[in-house]
Amino acid sequence: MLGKTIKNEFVNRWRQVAAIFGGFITFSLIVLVLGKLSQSVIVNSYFKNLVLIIDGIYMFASIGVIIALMIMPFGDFRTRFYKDEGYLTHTLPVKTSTLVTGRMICDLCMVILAAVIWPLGICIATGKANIYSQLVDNALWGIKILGNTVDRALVVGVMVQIFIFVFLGILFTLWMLNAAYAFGHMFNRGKRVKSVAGFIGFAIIFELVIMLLDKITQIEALEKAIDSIIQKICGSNEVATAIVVFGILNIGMIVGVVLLAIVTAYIMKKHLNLE
Amino acid sequence: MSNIVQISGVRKGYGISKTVFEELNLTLESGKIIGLLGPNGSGKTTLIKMLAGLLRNDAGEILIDGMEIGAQTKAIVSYLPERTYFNEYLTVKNLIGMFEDFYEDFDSERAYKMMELLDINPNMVLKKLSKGNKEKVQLIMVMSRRAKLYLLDEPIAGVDPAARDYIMQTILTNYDENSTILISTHLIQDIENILDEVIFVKDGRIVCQENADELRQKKGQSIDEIFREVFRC
Repeated sequence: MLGKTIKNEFVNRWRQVAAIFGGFITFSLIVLVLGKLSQSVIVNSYFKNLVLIIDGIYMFASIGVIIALMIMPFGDFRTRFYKDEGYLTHTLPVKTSTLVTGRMICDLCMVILAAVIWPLGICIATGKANIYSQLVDNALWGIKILGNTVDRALVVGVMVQIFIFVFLGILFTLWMLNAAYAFGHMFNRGKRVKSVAGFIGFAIIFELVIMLLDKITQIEALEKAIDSIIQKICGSNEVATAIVVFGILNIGMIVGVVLLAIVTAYIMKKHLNLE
Repeated sequence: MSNIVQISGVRKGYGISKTVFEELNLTLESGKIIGLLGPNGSGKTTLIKMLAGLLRNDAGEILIDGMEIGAQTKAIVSYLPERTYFNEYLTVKNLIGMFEDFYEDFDSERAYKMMELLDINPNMVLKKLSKGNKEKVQLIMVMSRRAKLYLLDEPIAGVDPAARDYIMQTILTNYDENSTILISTHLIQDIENILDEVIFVKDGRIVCQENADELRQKKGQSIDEIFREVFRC
């Protein structure tokens, strides 16, 4: 049933995904064409100013795509699990855990797609295919100024980990929104207020877990053990250490998403309340 | 005759202030068309939603075909809510594909035939259909299943008499004689002739559960008249 659930998720959501990413790529192409035109001698200064404004709008739009990645799937969750369409979703002969797993996989695919499309859009808009290698060059130059020399592959590794961290962060926030919404809808009154309270509650729990983990890793024996493991893997290379640290953070983020999905599934299984 | 639904000691409330069912006990036999009759707010929809798995009971036990509410019961229950519940951006064909995927008892051929009779293009997006046609598509989808239990919540409320006839005809021509239909309504006159059994719900209590013909004979009145008498304000 998981395969069918995932298929159903895609059938229901592809229009939304196409609208976000199709719109972004189209806008990137427009920015590229306008940029090329503005370099031409035949255009006047008004046109060049207009292109500058459009470039500014594009900058906001590229941030907007990231925000839309959280808001649109959350809106879809709300519609298909708690509004009228919920009457169909919750009467499908599928376990709640399967419904939630299918949704989580679809969200993950969407985030992966965004991680491909978003940089691609930026490449198109700037008209430079080597924009990311330039970014690595700049980082290497910065490290060199600080008096260090690092292997290029390691810098790329850190950047990839940061990139993954950002997109996993989006997924994590999305599932925190989903779980909070499910929490708020367990109640008969004040659902919105309780959803907001739920979100704040989950955020506090998340902070507390991080603080707790931080305290645990400060225990002398444990700290030494961790240091020696990292030392064995990375040696004294700080960039390699950064890769490992971000890798651990990313695994933590995945665990967080899974835990939030489990909470959401539990609430829907035990306390579904489609009044 | 075996029991398709067994409800024992069910309590359901909305918050602390409103209790819909204090202690509900009810048994429904297979192979019957049962009218769940009661005024607005009597608990009909709440009962149907609990059977469909959309609401959790606070206490007690609900069994459908001997199973607790879950994925297995949803596979044998076909539910028609009182609202349209499809993603409006899907085509009718998408919808049929989805029902085919999830419900083993779904007869897509029958669904396509009924759509054709209504002149509904399967490639049409639901959003482009009229409200009446959307409701009909929903009914077709629900009745194209060979379910053991059909839960129809107010299927004829708010529709014109011609549409009512279509709905009743669709229900009668498509349901399997071994299955059970539970129809909730307060428009009794329109459905009383097809009912085998009636259940009167008043303030969350079952005040009457009887064979429709026997009740008519006993009281010498139609079900509609009896209903008016029982629920007179």
